[in-house]
Formats: sequence, C-alpha cells, structure tokens
Amino acid sequence: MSGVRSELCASGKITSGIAEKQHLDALVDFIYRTLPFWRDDPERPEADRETVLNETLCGMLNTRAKREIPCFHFIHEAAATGRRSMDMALKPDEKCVFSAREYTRYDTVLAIECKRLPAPSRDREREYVSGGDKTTGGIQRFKLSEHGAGLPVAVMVGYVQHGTPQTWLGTINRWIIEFAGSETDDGLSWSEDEKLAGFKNDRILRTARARSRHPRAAQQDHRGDHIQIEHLWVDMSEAEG
Amino acid sequence: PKVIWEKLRFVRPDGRNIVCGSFYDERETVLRDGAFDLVIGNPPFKRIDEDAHATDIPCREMAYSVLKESFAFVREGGRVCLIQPSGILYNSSCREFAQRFFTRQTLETVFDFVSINQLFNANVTTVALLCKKAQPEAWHETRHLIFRRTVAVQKRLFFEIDHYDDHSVTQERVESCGWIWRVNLLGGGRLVALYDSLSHMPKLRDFINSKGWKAEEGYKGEVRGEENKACEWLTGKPFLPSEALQVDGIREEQITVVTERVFNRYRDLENFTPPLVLFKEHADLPSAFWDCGFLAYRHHVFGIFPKEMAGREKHTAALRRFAEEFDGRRETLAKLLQLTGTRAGVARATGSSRQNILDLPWPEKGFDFCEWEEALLEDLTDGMVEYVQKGERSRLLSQEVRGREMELFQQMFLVMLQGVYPNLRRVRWGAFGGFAYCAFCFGERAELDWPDDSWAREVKQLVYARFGEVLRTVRVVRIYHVNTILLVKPKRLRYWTRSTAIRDADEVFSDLRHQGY
Repeated sequence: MSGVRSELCASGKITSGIAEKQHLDALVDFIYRTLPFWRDDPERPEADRETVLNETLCGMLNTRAKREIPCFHFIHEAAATGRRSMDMALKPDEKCVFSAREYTRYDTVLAIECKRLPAPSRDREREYVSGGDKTTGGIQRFKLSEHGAGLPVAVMVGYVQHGTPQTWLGTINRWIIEFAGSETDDGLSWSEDEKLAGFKNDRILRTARARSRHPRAAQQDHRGDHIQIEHLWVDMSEAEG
Repeated sequence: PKVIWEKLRFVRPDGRNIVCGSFYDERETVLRDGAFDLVIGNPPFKRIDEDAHATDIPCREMAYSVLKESFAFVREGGRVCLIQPSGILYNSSCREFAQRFFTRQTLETVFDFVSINQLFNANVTTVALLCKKAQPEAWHETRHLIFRRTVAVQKRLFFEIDHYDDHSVTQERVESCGWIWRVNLLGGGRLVALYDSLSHMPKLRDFINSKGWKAEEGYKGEVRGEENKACEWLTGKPFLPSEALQVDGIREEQITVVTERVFNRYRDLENFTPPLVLFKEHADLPSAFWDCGFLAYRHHVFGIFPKEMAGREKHTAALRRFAEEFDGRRETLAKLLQLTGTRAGVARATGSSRQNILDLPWPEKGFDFCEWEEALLEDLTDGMVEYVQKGERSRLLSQEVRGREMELFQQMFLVMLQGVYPNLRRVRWGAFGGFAYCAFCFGERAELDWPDDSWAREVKQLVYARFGEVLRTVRVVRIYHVNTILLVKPKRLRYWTRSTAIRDADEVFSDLRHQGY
C-alpha cells in the first residue's frame, strides 16, 4: 500500500493577499493580548513560583486558543534538547495527530521562555539575558539553540513583579551592553545590536512588548543563523502588591 | 461478477510446496528451508480446544493464536498480514493481548473492515493487520485505513478509501489508547484530542461515589438453567416497565406490578426505595427522579440511590438536583456517549450500558465546548454514526451537498482559519459533473478561473485513483492560485460536513505554513 497516498493533491501556491510568516505574527499577538486576561483572572491561584505561573498561563492560552486560533495548542514543559525543558512550546493542533505525515507530535512552531522580573535571587539577577556558565539565561538559551533550535522566532514572557516595564527595558539593555564588552563563560559573543528595540508600553492594559535579534552560536545550529525574540511583558506589580 | 462467487471452484492443490496439516504441528516441516519473508492469510475464526495454544489468548480465539504464532515463521524484519476478528482492536477483553502484542511487533497498517458486514459471507466483522517482525520504534506510526460500506463494495466491485478515512496513529497511542480505533472509525482527527480531554475529566461514577450513592441495575427475572429464588417482598410490588421511562420523565399510567415469582437476581430493598434517580440503558439517556414510594424495575434500567436505608430521605434534595442537572446536560451527554461508549459505532445505534453511562464525563462546572468541538459532536449524532453503520444507505452517502450544508461547511472552515488569517473570506461554490467545489480568497476578490463542466474529466482523474482491480482511493483536490484556495471533492454530503471542514482547514493551514505564510 506504499503507493496509496490519498491526500497529496495540493497544487500551486498563494502569491498575494497574506504576509510572510503571518501565522507567527498572529500567534505572538494572541499571546500578548492574552497576558492581561490571565493576570486579571480572579480564579488564577496566587503564586510566585515560575512553574505555577507558567502552568496557569499555559492553561489560559489553551482555553482561549481553542476559540481564537484553533490551529494551535500549547504544551507545558515540553522537552527541548533533552537536558532542559522549555517553559512552553506551541504546536500545530490536531493536524499532527490525524496527519502525522506532515508533522510529528514534537514539531514545535514557537518556543516560549518565561522569566520573572526581577529574578528570584541575586545570583540569578541577569537570568533574563544570561545565566553565565550555568546556561540558565533566557536569551542565552535561544542563542545556544538549547531552545527553539531551527525556529525563526521565539517568545520571552516577562512577569514584571517589581519595577516597571520601562525600567526593565533599560536594565536588560544595559546587561546586553555589558556582555558585549566582555568575554562570557558560555563561549557566546554579544553585540550592542542585540539590544531590545521597538518598545511599546500599554499603560492601560499594563503590558509591554519589544523585539530583539540574535545570532545563534554556529556550533549548536549548523546554519549559525539568527533568531528573532519577541519580548512580551505583563506588569503584575500592582496585583502582587 | 456474480458467477465468480457462485460457480468458480479452484482445483485442489497438491504439490511440493503445499503442506497440508495443522498450523500448530507442521512448523518444522514448513521451516526446513528457512523462515519466510511474508505470512499472509485468513486464519480460522473458532474456539481453540487445546489448552497449550490458548494461553493468554482472549476468548480462546484461534485467529489471535495464529497471529501470535505466525511470527515464528518469518525472518527478522519479515511481515505477517492476517485477517483477524475486529475484536482484537474493538473489544476491551482483547486489550491486554493487543497491548502486549503491539509492544513486541511493529503494527504497520490496519485495514479496517469493521463497517462492512458479511464481507466474507459470515456474520463477523474483520480487520487485517500488517505487521513487521521488529520491535517498534518510539516514533513509529501505524496507518489506519478504514473501508466503508459503499455501493462498490456491496456489488463486490472494488474497495474504496477516502481521504478522511486515512489516519496515522502514533506508537504511544497504539500501545496505550485502546479507544483510538473506535474514535478514528467515527472520524478521527480532532475527535482524538477531544476524546483525550474528556477522558481526563471526572466521571459520573466518581460524582456518585463522592455523594455516598450507588448505581445498580434492577432485578433479573428467572433464567432457565441457573439458580433462581423467590422474593416475597418484590413480587406484587409496583413495577416500572422500561418503555415507561422516557427522556421527558416517567409515564406513571404505565406503572404495573411485578408479576415474576422467582428471580435470578432480585437485588436489595435499597435499590427500589426512594429517593431514586432512574436511567434507561439507551443512547437517548432517558432518566427521571422518583420519590413516590417503592418502585421496582428490571435490569435494563439502573437506579442511583443512597447506599444505606437509614436516613436516606436526607439525600432527596441532592438527588433531585442531580436529576435536574443531568436533564440539563442530557443533549450534550447523548452526543458524548456516541464518542465515549465502548460499542459506539460498532453496535446498534440505540444501545448503551450502565458502564458506558457511568463513564460519561461529569465536570463540576459543566461543559465548555467551543464551536468546533460542538460541531464535531453534533456531526456524530447527525450523520457519522449512521454512516458507520449503514454505509451507502446513510444520509451522508446517499445525498448531495446543498446550499445550507455548504454554508455551514464554509462557516466552519473560516472559524478555524480566520484567527490567523483574518482577511480570508468565502467566495463561491458550485457543482460540475459528480463534484462540488468551494473557494476562499485572501482579500476582496478571488483571482481564479472558475471550473465548469469541462474540468470534470481532469478532476475525476485527480480525485479518483485506481490501484489495480480492487482498490480505489478518493482524494481531495486543493488548488492554490494567486490569492485563492479552491477545494474540489465529490459532491456527496459526506465530503462537505463541518467535520470535514475542520480537517480541510487544518490541512490548508499546513500547506500555507509550508508555503511560508
């Protein structure tokens, strides 16, 4: 029966009417607009730990995705490269179950890393960017292809528990500049071009977003190409008191 | 042709490479020149007499035993393809055997004929399993091909597989989800994820247990050949015939008295003493609350009642509330029963069992299905179950798509994709030859030449593909041109339901992703 393939009868290509990578833009926008609903959900348990925050955010994203972008669902704590787990991965929905010919169940469309701002302890202060030789940093892991390997876009969700998104923009960019001027223990090189840019702050919804672009370490990803990171932050400082 | 079935007889073979004897006893003779590349056949469907070959074999079924022992005849990497009773996949009593088997040998393809009765002029439904003698890899996927009862099959012309009956099943699901075959039979795709999420919800039986209640069937009358006993507190008491229990309540005027004098199983007084919530074992889920005195019922009805006789009246309000809640969820639960019931789709449409009803999901806050989940469930009761059971006589195969149905198809398709592509809109639909087409475009206007009857011949060659004399596949044609997506399929209603819209949308999305969008 190997010659009997019933479905492969697609011909031609769309050449106008939609933007390249529109599905990724739609996904990132969806996550961004879900953040305030999640933060303000009266049924969200009070929690400080990242794993609990991630789990409840994943649940909210799945509940809303069912209705708003039913092509996708979110997987919590998906295995990444075998050593570390991603905080969340986004996969095409049941296409991969009913037509695994095109996808496998482990085909991630979008990798999502979540960080608290500030970090829970001083020795992890700069972990949004890099964890040094421990390679626990958010942006660091994407540069090392420990997460999001081969994907053009990734998301970092920032839970702003103290301070403001504006001040954190400045702090994170300062860290990147400092890394650019020094050698790091993980073998990565940084440049000032990797700073977060395009900052937008929504004071009403208390969310903010920015974008950055980073070269991947060539030895981990053979192409040595770039990854674009969408930074989506939700201000939880008032809610946390 | 009929003459082949009725008149053709083969000359009895008798030669050097034909071994006549018992499958179990001739192994050494058969293997004297080495193992085979392929074992293929239709083993006997009968009960094994000898215990030696019946160890761990469900129902002592010889066909399962032959399947298991056939692998001794093939080399490593060789293949076995045998007709089997469909129970190997659909019967819960075979689950342990199947699970053990599928973790040791690689199940490559399931040819599922369960929808075709009398395929071998016998009153048994079958599947054919193509297996490779090799430990399955974790990433392996089994192909599940479902053959429906079509006119061509009824006339013994050829088998047909259509695009929506071609499923892939991961090794994980093959090993641990015995329900996957039944859910694929009912349409597969996102139904699988829906079933998965339902299976993680608390069940009705969990809720009943948490309340200190019990769910038990009514009495069983005399059974000849078994022990039966008299029960004086039951004979002559008020009796509810099962037909008196309807979805809108109990027909009290039909209550009579228990006439039996001996019983195979008479149960306990608690079973018939109010407060009671009574259920009939029927797919429509008739049920009612009862607190108007003692009421007996037979085993086609089951009751939910407090476990203890003492103080049972304090459960009255809670049982009444439960009955009202069940009534409010009945329509949804009846659809879910089609999906979660263990015999759904493979047995008569109206039957159900206490077990299946108690295994229904019962989330505390009720169900929160989105539009596409509702559509999948409605399609089950609105055509899919009938399609599984009646094939060519079902509405889905006997009717063509019309305006209203196409509108629903288009709406569902857009619901699935507009979250990512908000400027996608429907354009037009039409029919030509034996086909229907439906178009969507990005933007205001579609830039495409519309098919007319002159396309029919070319489209027919794309949609229908023959493989030898006995197999035809039915494909879906998707054409992408400038800003327009065109779907072309046979115009039978089966291809234009909301469920197929969901599947088409997922596949179009996959195509668009691969195109860079």
